[in-house]
Amino acid sequence: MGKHVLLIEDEPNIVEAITFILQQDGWRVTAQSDGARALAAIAETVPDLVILDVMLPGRSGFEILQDLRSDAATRDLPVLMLTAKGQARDREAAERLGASLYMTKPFSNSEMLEAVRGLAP
Amino acid sequence: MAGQLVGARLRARRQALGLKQAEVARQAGISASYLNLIEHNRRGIGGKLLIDIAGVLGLAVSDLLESTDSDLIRAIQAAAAAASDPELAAELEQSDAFVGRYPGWARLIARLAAERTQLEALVDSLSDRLAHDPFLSESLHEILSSVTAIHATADILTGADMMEGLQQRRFQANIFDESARLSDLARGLVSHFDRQAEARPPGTTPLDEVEAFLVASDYHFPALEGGDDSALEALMESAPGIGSESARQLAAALLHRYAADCRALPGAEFEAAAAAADYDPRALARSFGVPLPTVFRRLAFRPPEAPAPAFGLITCDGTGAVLLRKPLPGFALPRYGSACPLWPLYQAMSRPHAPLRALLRTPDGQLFRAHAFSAYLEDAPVPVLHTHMLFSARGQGPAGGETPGAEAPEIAVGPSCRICPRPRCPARREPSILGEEGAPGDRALAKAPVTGP
Repeated sequence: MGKHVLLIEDEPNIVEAITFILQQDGWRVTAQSDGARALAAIAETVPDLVILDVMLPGRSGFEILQDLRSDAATRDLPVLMLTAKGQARDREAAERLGASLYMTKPFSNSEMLEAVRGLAP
Repeated sequence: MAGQLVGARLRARRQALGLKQAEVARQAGISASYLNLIEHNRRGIGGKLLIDIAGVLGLAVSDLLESTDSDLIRAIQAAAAAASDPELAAELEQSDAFVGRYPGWARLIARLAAERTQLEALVDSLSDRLAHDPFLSESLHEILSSVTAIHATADILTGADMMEGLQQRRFQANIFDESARLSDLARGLVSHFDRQAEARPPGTTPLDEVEAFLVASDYHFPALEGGDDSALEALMESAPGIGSESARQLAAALLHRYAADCRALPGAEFEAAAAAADYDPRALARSFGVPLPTVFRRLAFRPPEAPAPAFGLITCDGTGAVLLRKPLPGFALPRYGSACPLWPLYQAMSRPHAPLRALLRTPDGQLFRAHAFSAYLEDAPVPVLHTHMLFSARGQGPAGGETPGAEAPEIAVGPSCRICPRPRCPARREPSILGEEGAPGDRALAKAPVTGP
């Protein structure tokens, strides 16, 4: 079984596309559509990598990232942030809060694969 | 043509005084031949020389300029200020000569500058809208998400040679769904912008629309003078310049208040009382038992054909944002704030419910009587301060509450720091592009602060 990627994204068709790409590359993918459920799932099983969308219902991706970085168990967990916003301040916020990598939508599938492979070799 | 040129007026005044060209020229420090060229409008005149010659002839500069000329001079000076061009700053002394010689060009410059200001305001509002409009922000986010889903799914289908039929059909259905969503989003955005575009003329804010409506109506609504709101609907339907819903709401509120003011101060009775009281707003407020702002508005919104004086009015909120403005020739009012800090309008803000009065002398020597009053709105659940300043040209009509020995103190004011030449003004917030040569009014500057009643 390949490494475990947790995808935190509320757009179902994006989830389906990313899941297919990663599974084809040998990754095991689980998905959660909101941050609270995602944190609960991580508390049970820490994945090898998190792909985290910024715009989530309820708590934002930045808030979820902040929680992950404040927990010793997930402080060093690789996190790839996805966002529809390309503004510099979002990029800076992601870096400041400890995102491992920041990618803006729309992204190419090859870029996504390359990023995931690089973060969880 | 803006009117007689300055040179011709100088000549007329000199001749009326029975003075020779040589004598006037000698006192002004120029040659008689040069004065001759000026009088026949073959040389421009402005700045210190204009002030000196006006002084020799016993005139204020404003007496030589029609009020429309003064407004046009200020407009092109404001245009130069906005351009922030150091070369222009050196030529500003010739503004009045330029207006006198080329009034058409001056009007064009003033019009283009006003249009530029409106367009800048539109750009600011559009930028602000993109940043803060929740509908736009949400729509853009959804568009990007939809495009991402389509792009990623299409990429998969393009590269997948051996894909199970069911999976392939799922992805094709996803693309179809996202495409439909994208179409709906695009239609929603087009409708959103179409509504905005139809509602409002380009380059205007709702307050601009209301102001255009007031100007087109000469700030007077005979249909509402009976105090009856029933004519309001008809007025709103035919209101020139009112396009957006926001402007419609503002205009409706303004007209409701207008009708209420008419009920409190019926036209003929008020006009008679105003004339008897020398147009003193405080005396009228006491006599009718109404708030001072009500009297201010009734005086400002009198019929255009009413006897002098004509009144100007400016109302702003606690931030200084202009809510209502009715300028007068010779006393320009800012559109978006940044006026002269010495106006009693701003002094009144620090003394709510204490009426202030003052004589305002503008840089070109004109005098205006001003009454200012600030009050908290009675029907607001939180403290909301509105401040008003009523003004009229001194010398037009009765004394407006002034009595010999009890005149209001004189304050030297300007239009706005950027185009005000007043020297060493303690209230100046930025350097003037005109320099600080001093204006005729400074020779009569009183140091006393604005007083209360």
